[in-house]
Amino acid sequence: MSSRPDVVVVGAGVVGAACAYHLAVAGVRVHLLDRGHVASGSSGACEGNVLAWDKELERELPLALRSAELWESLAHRLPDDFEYDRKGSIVVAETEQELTASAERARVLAGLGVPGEVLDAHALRVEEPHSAPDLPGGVLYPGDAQLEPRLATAALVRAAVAHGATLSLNTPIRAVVREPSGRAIGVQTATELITADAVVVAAGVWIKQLLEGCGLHVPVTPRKGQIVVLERSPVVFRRKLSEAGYVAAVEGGDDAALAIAMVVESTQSGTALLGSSRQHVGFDREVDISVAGAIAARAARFFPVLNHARALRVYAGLRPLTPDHIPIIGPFAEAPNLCVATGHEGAGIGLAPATGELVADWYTGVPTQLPLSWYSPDRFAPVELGAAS
Amino acid sequence: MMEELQVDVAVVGGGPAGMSAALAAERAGAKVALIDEYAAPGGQIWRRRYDEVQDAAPRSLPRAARELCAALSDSSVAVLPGASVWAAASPGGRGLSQAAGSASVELLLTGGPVERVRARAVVLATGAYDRPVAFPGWTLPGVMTAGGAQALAKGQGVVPGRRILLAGAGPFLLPVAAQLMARGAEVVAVAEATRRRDWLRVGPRMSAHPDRLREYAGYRRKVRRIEWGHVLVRAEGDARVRSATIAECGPDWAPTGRERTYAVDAVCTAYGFLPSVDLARALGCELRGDAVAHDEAMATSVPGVYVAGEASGVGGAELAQVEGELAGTAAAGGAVRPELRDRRARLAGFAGILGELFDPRPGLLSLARPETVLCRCEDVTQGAVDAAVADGATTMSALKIATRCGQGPCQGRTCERLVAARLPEGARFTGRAPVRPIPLEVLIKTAES
Ligand SMILES: Cc1cc2nc3c(=O)[nH]c(=O)nc-3n(C[C@H](O)[C@H](O)[C@H](O)COP(=O)(O)OP(=O)(O)OC[C@H]3O[C@@H](n4cnc5c(N)ncnc54)[C@H](O)[C@@H]3O)c2cc1C
Ligand SMILES: Cc1cc2nc3c(=O)[nH]c(=O)nc-3n(C[C@H](O)[C@H](O)[C@H](O)COP(=O)(O)OP(=O)(O)OC[C@H]3O[C@@H](n4cnc5c(N)ncnc54)[C@H](O)[C@@H]3O)c2cc1C
Repeated sequence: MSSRPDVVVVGAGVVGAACAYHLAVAGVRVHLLDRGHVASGSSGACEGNVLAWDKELERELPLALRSAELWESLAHRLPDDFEYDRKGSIVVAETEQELTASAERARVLAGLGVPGEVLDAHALRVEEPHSAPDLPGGVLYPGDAQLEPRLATAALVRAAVAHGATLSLNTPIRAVVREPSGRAIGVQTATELITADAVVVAAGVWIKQLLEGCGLHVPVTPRKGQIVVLERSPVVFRRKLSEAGYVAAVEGGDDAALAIAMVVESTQSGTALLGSSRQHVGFDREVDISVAGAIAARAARFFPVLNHARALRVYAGLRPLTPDHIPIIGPFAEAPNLCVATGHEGAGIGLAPATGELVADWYTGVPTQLPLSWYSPDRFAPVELGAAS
Repeated sequence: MMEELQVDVAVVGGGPAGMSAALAAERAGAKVALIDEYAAPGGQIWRRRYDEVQDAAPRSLPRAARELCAALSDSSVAVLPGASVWAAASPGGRGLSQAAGSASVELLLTGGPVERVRARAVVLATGAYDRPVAFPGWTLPGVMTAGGAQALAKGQGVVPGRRILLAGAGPFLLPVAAQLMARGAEVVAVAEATRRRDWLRVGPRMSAHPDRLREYAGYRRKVRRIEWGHVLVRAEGDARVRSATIAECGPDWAPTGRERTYAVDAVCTAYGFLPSVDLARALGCELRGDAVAHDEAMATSVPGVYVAGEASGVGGAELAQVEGELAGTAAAGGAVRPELRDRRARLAGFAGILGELFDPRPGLLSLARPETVLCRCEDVTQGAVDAAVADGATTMSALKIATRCGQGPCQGRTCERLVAARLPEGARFTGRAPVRPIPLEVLIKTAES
């Protein structure tokens, strides 16, 4: 490397890429590292939904709304295309009860700046002609968008490099190195210690193990998800589709039980993607065909035309889950120049730009758009149990 | 509920290797199932005419094939034709479901009535396919592999054009040329990349296999005009191929000059075969080079999984049958006749000589241009792949992410080697089920049981 960077960013997933991009644009000298290639982790094994309706309302939704704005402007500003499309999404209810609850959620969201339109059974079929005849309706959220996550991650990295960032791929970080005072010195690769003013760790589901090594606790666990990719076909779904029960699956218990919720979207390359599954099975990324079958069954329940579609392949990825389902962004009290950016679970693509912006504003000392305290890693600091006795 | 069959030995692929494996396993006392995608057993070399699929011993096949087909139909082997194995799991390898936990190998099928086969052991006899070579114009309609042309001719009785140029290397060029001529096509030229001096080098070892040489000489009498030391450099046309240009090539098969252009309406290439290893990879079997790695008994690295025929290395139908017998016997737990191993060694020796002579040489890679498509499914050019490499991609998955190559219906079967050649040695896509596109209804059933 030519000169010492101001900031080292560990992880070239979408979150690390967004951090590097915003830092570089702010004039910071950034060095971005990944042990693999760009988007070799979760960001290369997911979908690209940028949604607002499914977010936790207090801390996650504001991040989502800011991110949605940023993705829209990045789609115009970045030189590389990443198939950004503000196509809108429909939350499909399976029962009248779900429709009532969805309409109520839409009312709340409207008050928070997320407009939605309640669809009755007829309106749903006009919007999405492939809907099963018994479905009672849903809610259309016209502001939701979709993008190609791998292309988007690569576009951010390339733009960061265009703004002076340096990039080292195939470079595993063995440890983040700290001074006795607690401050970070830099990161240790197999061959060198790279020092910097600050270290940003965006290592996705692998962050817990990496930071344990330097005595810091980031309780992120992997939550496996699979996607079924369909062969190209004339059947196109205009909007992004999810079932109303999706939020329950996301917020569901953290046990090993398998949760399936319908998510369907057509892509610009002409395929369609079917999700979603949630499972706690450690770091296993092998495809499980019976889970893929359950995903397919759920999708076909809502859109029977899919029974005649053909599945081309199946892939699996890991979502970085936190105990309170809120991302972890910001420095540690005991390591004030060591900042983490992770824990976005099934929404890291959607939430990445605002995360990168928060991290850049934190480093450059600009007032942040949202209070960093909402996302602080210190909220998980182990409580000292009465040492007196 | 899935329609299920439980056997001792399941054989995937009904070519010479698979048929022999099934019969050998049966002889060793096993209950056997034989699964093949085509409408009837026979494989590539013994592909029947469509009107012969019901025959126990089709008359259009050579005697050895008829005998094997007849033995199969007289046997207790459960033949499941028209069925593709689209996923597989074994207790010792990678799986369909972590929860499966059974002691048997599990195969999932689509296309026929049986949807799942459980077996104590499986023999993968999945054969091979034509090795793709990318050159300007290779995606034009009318340009195809010789194997594709032959399958049309054998199965449907049609030829791909009236004026055909064949190009490639090795013993497969001539039989195909002869078959096309026999069905009325004019073969305007056969471009063979090797030269006579290459042949002289292996000649002494070749002479230990006189039967093979006789067979070759037979074809040689039918196909007289061979352009030695020539490669096909491009095909041109708009809606369809109109002309093909060949050029003299150097010892590494890179074109070195003097070109000649022929007016044609079809072009067939035959640069050898690649073992079909997608199912083996989905099971987690180790590979050796292009083929599935195996020991003397044809056992792969995954317990309970055996391999035979071209999937274990390209070597012709006779070797495939010997390997099938070895693998089928071992899979059934039977005792192998020692002379069978010797025969295998002898035949594999001949295959080695052919490999030395005809395995593709690096100059072929210089034919494609930046604008030449490498991944046909996703329309990814060599230029796009090279740009991704220049951008830092060092692995196949990085290239997949950067360019989408290998993500279409063929799942990289066609472009894998072409793309891998832009990277350092040994790069491969990861193989995962489903190894064939499958109806969603079929996938859904796996969750129900
Ligand atoms: C099936 C599925 C569907 C999804 N769909 C969506 C969706 O529609 N919308 C959405 O917003 N989100 C979605 N997600 C979630 C999304 O994929 C993640 O939240 C997001 O990709 C996380 O990004 P990241 O940058 O934090 O992690 P990653 O992309 O995993 O990046 C972390 C990087 O750090 C690197 N790294 C780790 N350890 C080290 C080390 N020691 N040294 C060097 N490098 C290291 C890794 O190689 C990796 O590249 C989905 C997830 C799954 C599994
Ligand atoms: C296109 C082509 C044409 C050939 N023509 C000739 C020729 O004319 N003369 C000659 O001497 N040699 C020819 N060969 C070489 C010939 O294939 C071998 O010598 C011999 O047939 C190999 O036998 P095998 O049993 O290993 O494989 P094959 O005969 O190829 O049989 C493999 C069988 O497995 C089936 N299969 C594969 N995967 C699956 C799956 N997932 N599910 C279900 N079934 C599956 C296939 O349908 C096929 O029938 C040809 C090879 C190819 C690839």
